[in-house]
Amino acid sequence: MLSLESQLQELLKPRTNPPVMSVTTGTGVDKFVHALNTTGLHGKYNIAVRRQWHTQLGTELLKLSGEHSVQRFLHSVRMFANWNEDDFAILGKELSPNLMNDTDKIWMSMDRDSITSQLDLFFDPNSSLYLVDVLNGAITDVVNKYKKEPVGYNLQDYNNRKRIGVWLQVPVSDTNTINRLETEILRDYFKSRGFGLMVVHAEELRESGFDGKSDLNKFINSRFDVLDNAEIYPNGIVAIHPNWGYAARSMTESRLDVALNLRNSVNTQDDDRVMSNGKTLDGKNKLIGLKIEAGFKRSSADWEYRQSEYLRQLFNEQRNEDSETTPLGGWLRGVNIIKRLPCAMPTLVTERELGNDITDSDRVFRDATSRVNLNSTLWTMTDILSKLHIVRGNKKVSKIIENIKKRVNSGGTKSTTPPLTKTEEQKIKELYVQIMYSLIGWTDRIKGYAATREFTSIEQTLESIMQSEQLDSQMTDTLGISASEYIELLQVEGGLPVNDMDFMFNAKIAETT
Amino acid sequence: MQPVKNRIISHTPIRTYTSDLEWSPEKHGLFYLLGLDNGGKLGSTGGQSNANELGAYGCVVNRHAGYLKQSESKDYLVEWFYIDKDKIVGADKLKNSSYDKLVHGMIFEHDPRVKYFKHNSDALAIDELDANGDIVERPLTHSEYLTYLDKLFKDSVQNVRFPLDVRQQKMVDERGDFLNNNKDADMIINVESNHTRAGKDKTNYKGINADTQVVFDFSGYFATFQITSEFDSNVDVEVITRGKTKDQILQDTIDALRNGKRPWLMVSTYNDEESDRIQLLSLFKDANIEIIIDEVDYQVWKQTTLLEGIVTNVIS
Repeated sequence: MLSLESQLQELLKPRTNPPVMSVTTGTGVDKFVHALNTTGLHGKYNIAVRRQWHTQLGTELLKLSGEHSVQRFLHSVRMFANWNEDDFAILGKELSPNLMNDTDKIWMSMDRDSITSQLDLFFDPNSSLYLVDVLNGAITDVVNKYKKEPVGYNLQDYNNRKRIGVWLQVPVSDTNTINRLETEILRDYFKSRGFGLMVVHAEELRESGFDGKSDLNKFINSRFDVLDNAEIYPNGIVAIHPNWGYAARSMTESRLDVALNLRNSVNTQDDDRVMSNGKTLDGKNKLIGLKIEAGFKRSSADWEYRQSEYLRQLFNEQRNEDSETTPLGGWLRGVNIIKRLPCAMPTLVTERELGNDITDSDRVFRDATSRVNLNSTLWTMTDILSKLHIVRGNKKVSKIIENIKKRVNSGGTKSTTPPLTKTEEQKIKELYVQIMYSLIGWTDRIKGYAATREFTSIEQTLESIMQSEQLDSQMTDTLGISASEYIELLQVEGGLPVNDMDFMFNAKIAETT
Repeated sequence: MQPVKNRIISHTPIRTYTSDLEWSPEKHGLFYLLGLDNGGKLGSTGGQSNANELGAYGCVVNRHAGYLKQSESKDYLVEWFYIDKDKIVGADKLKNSSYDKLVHGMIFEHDPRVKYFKHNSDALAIDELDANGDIVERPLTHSEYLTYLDKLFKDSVQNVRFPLDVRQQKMVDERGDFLNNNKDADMIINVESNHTRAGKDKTNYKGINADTQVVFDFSGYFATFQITSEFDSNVDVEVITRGKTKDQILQDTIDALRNGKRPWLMVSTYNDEESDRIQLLSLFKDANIEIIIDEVDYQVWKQTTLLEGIVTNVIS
């Protein structure tokens, strides 16, 4: 009797092709490519690597051209809801000033009045941000925007939505707290507003007879079927979940129309839940997935900056797809951003406004240098930062960085780290500007190198420099740190403003070509 | 329906979902629906081996007419079904001839409100809204159960698949062209960035070269191998590796190859380059093999040693 290995070898045909590995993901390929490049495998073997990008906007443009095979894709519409005390006043409500600018605090307070007041902004039909109206407004805007395109949308196929599905993202990460919110506040609240409520988390899945994470999609489909009762819930269904790891699970529930983010932070994969096409709660065709950003800390990132950051990220993606594109090429004009003026219905931003946001380099640099995150783990990377040629001869640099490192919150909830003093904060901000000057300034030296090789990001260019000992050592002499160290800094989550830096880098490359 | 206790089942009517009147174990899947005679447990079903034990074959072709063994204390009602196997999703992969789980799976797929009953995992239940708008669970009724079966098997079930759209086709073509232009390379790596709902599974499936004999899918660290919904059951066979020994995996792979199929080894555990799943790759050094990794942005794929492990094990 032959061994299993021998039996297997007898069945295998000779190799005629090199082995193929296909890796697919959303936007995270850079980290994979970086890991691959640092293995040294390229020098040892002849490995052919092909990189390819397909973006949401690329697909939308194809759809607009009338291409039949992509008609099932939706338009992604982002909205930045800039609410203030006036919105509450219209509804006869008042919100404490210290909660007004921090939506995380509203939810952590577990205070019924504050939470329902914030929800009223979106679920009270008298509010100018009432989600059903906002969705209809967005659909109308998008159809009007594309009325001259070959695709030929008919407004009445999509408009006049009555019952909608909402993916509500709240800043509560604890399952027990979500359960308490559900029983004490939310179930009754949404019922009174004509919306059915489902809670989505692992424990809820198991209790309802599902298998856990692998059954997430089935669970959501099931809950929508059960709650889909136009008499009891005439306005639709709301799904709420803790801010946790299911974010990365695939889900194909088409009855979700609006992702409403009430957290200070953004999770792009999570708000993409609304991008499945198919049946809707009221039988209308689906045209858009609406993603509303309505939670932010105004002290660290305001509405305008979020919008700018989003646009610059799109611009960088555009350059990846076509390095010859103009700053406001047809591709970027496909972007759908709804902005809201106080006390008025939201409307699409105009092309001129888009243009202002992405052609004003001074503004980009200002944005990049003025928004320092004092709690980022960037500040724990003392070894690299202290080598950076920031201000020649300034011996205090490493001392300041050491001070920051001691006081940076390492991420734990029970950190006893003393907060920074005002003076220290100021010193760090000044240092941050110097770091940015140094890092961004240095990209001037590599813009020609990047242009000739059609690179579109700093990281991509650094990866190439890493392959050459000579270039890497020149870089270390000039900047103080090596290409791989620069990449390490870029990869810190919430550290450097990578989108803004890449944006400026692309602008510099465009000047050279 | 006939009570099981007394085994007077040879005249129990069979509900059939097939055009053939003659029972054929090769063609038909058989299962039964059990219920307490007070109706309290309706919805419980059993598999092929239990059906045999209970004399189902006897009631079909009367082979066990003299079967006298006494049942347990409870009186159950039994109802028999036989269904064309090709109407049961996944029946071709079934080895133990227990069709109930597959049929239940089809019912769950057809109506997501239906699931196993919390208080009796054999029975089926449905979630509903009460008058107050709250979700409550109740067991499925007999007629509802039959309605689902009628719907699923009389009208048949088709898995509707979209053809490739122009972008996906372009991507598939580019993979093919890149391979043909780099035949002399030691290895080909396609790195593709895509947006939400762009159809990565479809591209990954259709992008497999026709000459490829074995596929390793490493997407299982977090994912659920949704790519299997794209499979052509005449060509592809899923080889699950979770919880199996190396020999069991090899045996399944050999079985698939012997049947002229293309095995997909669905790998879920590979924390490092020393993992026996990674070592398995070395057995295919001289064959046409492809590897798929979906969602490479997970932390595990930042380990350079893991990548080295894969590449060095797969390059001949």
